Amino acid sequence: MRFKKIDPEQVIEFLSREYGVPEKELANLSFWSSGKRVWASSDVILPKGVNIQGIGIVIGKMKEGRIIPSNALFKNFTITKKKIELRSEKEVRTFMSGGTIKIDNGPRGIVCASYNGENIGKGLSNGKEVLSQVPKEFRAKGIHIP
Amino acid sequence: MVTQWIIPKDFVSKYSKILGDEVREFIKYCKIPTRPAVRINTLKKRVEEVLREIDFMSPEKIPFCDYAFRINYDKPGNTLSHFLGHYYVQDPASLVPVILLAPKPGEKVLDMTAAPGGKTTHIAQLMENRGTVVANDVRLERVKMLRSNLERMGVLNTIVTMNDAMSLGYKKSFDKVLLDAPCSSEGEVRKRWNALSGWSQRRVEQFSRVQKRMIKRAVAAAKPGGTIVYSTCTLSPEENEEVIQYALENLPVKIVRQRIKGLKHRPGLEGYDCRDCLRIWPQDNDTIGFFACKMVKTA
Repeated sequence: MRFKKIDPEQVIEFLSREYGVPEKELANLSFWSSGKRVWASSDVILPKGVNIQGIGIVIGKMKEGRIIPSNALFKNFTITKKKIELRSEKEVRTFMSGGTIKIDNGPRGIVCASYNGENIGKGLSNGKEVLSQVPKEFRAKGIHIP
Repeated sequence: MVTQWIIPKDFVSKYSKILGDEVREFIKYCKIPTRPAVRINTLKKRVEEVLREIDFMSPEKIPFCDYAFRINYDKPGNTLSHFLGHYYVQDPASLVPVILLAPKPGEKVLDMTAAPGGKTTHIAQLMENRGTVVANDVRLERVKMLRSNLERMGVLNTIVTMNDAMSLGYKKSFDKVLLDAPCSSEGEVRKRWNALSGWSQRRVEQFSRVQKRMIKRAVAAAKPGGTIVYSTCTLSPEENEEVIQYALENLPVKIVRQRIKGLKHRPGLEGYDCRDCLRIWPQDNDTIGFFACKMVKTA
């Protein structure tokens, strides 16, 4: 894969405006693009002459000049906007297994689902329902919630 | 259901020569499944916070690692804490290579055979997500598994590469290099009852040849004065002491003597010049079988 360093200002501005990610959390990070994917890493030194498959974590995909956030963005950064709180263990289990949660007048579009202050993952909301967009590799049925 | 453990006769006879009467104890332990253990991911949460989350697993501290615990729970991979990356399920013996490597924030570290990422995420944890880790593996499906674990554990200082470790061309580039070499996995029999199903002395010797080619690349990749840790989850001398002996005779390295307080380990086998290696038998700490050696590059 080919990686290109991208201007951090635009990414930081977008993520803090749209999802309320604190700027100080993003300030020391580098941002990279490969195809449509946007990656965030700490200040790493790239090796030469090798086949690079990833730098840090994927924080989103570029679409029509916007970043569509990834599940990893929500799980690894503080999110203060477009957030919905799951209300019970049952809802967490439904969400973690890829199901749909009912909400009352919630935010629309890509949202971050959280439970007891922990970001659980990404969902797609129409304001009344949130469809889990937790990637298949992270889905699970019947998880134990302490 | 009674599991039929596959322990080939030639395997028993090989280890009788090494262990003498103790082979009975060794084979007995090979047939006892390991108790699960977890390493708490301090990149995400403090140890005491995660301990509260996993209190229901009755965690017991591992004597040689402040952030790793044995647990009394058989599905640690199916909890919310696991999905949130608060811990990594890992046998205590496999903590040893990274403890020996002792990576520090800001360093440049190479993990030559990184998937599925237990040791890479441990390295990033000790580096506090600062500096650079190059985590390499050879096959795409393994690289995907590695990336997925890095994402789960919140690792930001790692570059994932996909290359054959035998042909990595790094020269004097890294402060520290970990070669957790592909091996015959004898030590894993406690985790997988059929781990020895394809075992043969010929296969052990094939691995040994591959490991010698890899250690050459590992030493080349380290800076002069840099650290190289070689480890395997096997107990065959051909894949351990013989590989280290090869490095000592052909490459600019010397062994650094290491002791880990709280871990019972034995020296490298007699007949080789590497008594300062760490040989971890399953019966000594109730872990999988393991081997590790720390070296420094002299030129």
